Amino acid sequence: MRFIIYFLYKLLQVVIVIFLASIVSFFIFRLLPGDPTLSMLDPRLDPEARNEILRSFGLDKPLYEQFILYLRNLLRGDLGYSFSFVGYRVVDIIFGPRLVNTLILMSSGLALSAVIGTLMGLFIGWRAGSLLDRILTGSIYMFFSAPVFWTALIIQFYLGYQYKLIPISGTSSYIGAEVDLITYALDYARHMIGPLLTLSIFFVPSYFIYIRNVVADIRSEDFVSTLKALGLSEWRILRNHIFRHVAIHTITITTNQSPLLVSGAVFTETVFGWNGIGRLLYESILKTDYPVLQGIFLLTITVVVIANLLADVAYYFIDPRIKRGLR
Amino acid sequence: MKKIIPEAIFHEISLRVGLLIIVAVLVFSLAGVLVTPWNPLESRGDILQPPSSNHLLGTDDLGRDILALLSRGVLTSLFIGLVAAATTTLIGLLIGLVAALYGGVLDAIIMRIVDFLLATPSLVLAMILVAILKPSIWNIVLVLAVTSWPGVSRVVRAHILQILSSGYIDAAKSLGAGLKHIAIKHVVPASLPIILANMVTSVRGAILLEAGLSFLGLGDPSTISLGTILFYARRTAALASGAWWTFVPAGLLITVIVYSLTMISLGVERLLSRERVYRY
Repeated sequence: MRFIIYFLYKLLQVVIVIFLASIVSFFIFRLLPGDPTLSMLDPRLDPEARNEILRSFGLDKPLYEQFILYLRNLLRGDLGYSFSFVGYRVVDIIFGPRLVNTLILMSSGLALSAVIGTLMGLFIGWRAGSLLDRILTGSIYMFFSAPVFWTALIIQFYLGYQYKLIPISGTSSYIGAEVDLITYALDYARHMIGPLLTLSIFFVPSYFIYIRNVVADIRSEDFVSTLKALGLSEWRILRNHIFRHVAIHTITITTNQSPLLVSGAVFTETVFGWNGIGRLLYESILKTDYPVLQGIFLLTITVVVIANLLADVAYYFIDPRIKRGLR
Repeated sequence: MKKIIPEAIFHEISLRVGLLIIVAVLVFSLAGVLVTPWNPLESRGDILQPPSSNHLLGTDDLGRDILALLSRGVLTSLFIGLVAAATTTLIGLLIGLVAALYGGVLDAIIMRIVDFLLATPSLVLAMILVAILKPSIWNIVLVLAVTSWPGVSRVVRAHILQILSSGYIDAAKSLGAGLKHIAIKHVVPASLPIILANMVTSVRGAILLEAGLSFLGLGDPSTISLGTILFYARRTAALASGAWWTFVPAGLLITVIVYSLTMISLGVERLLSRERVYRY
């Protein structure tokens, strides 16, 4: 019961933010200077024909009527038609193979980084102050500072162009060809190596730095000395006691990464030609495809707030203090 | 979020290291301008030449000298970063100040807007805004400021609330000081250190965001920033023809600048957290 109230409270916040986002995404594309129809319609077009097209998109009605229409359609899950993919619905463009590609890439990238970063942070933090710690912690800030698009370029250049170890670009070599599932999956995985490596270099430092500091702090706490005095092995203290503290932080960092997730997706997908939502965003910007941009804008905000909601739920179960001290 | 502070290893050494690197980058850039005193956008002969005594860092696919481009690019990136961060800080400070001082409904509304903007990935918002506005340096600065003030506002507001609850503000109030007086004479001076510390982080964010936008070709096409150089390199045959010098140094410079700013902000944070013990 307590959990349901907690959950509903958090859910209400999510609904408010998504509602705000839908308002903003409507007005941002209409109130700012620039004529979206210019990119799509030939300026030399006869004004009659131009008005006809505007009417077919409902762009001739007053703003408030457009807004009501937009909200009604949004509730039905209708985001209108794309400007650049003529004849395609925005919903079909976004919720298709592109989203699947992005979800596969980003979730495996994040999971890989969370595991590597947390474990590294755990073991290095336990040995804080040692030579290994100095070297690793000092150099990890360099990786932390490298812009993700440059990391992607370097990996693509050296592993792809120079040593030909990974495919240079794309999601699959078998587009339009009939192949069996295993061949396809292996090829898909090979295309994922470059992007995954990029994302790991991008995400691991945050996990590592944060967890290292947490563990270095915990190490000097009384309960650790007590456990040591009781004769527990280092491994058991790490596994049974410290790991539980650290798991909460791993979730926090993962939630805080969600805005970075978007830039990671945009740059990595653009450089490696990964056919996902990030690249779609970039291409839609170049083509000023406002309906698709609107859809991606709403999607990213929804993902961020839902990630936060899931993290809150996870905290509820991992951290017993939340259960006791509910607001 | 808990601040990322590595203990023991860096102390204020990180501050010194950071400042040293930024000075070195500036010296490199100014020396670069002196060595290549021509218009960096003009072709200097052969295309895609590797580094040699003629062209210290080689040439790109249009025959432009890479060192000439880099030395101007560094200055542009730093300039945009600083101006954008100053604007961000100013907007964030004012809004945070208003929210903290007036409180109530106004505070609640401002903070909900801040929450919403913090949940919006700034890159997406920045890309959309830049695409709609004309890509010029000032629009880029505007977009950087618009997308990053909420973080500053949140920090400033929290800090000011803390100051407002301290004894000397009560004393000033009891002596009949008005809101404006308290804000200008007490609150702003007391929060200057934290504002400055935050500004370093803002510069870092602005430089990265500007580089990213330029890398995607959404920057000001008439100026050279480090991101634009990477955009040119990627758009042309530089990667396929093995011309590493067209993109390795530019990215390395961004990394080094961002690294030095990270070190500076770590150092400043460390100084502040030590000083606060005495101050409050």
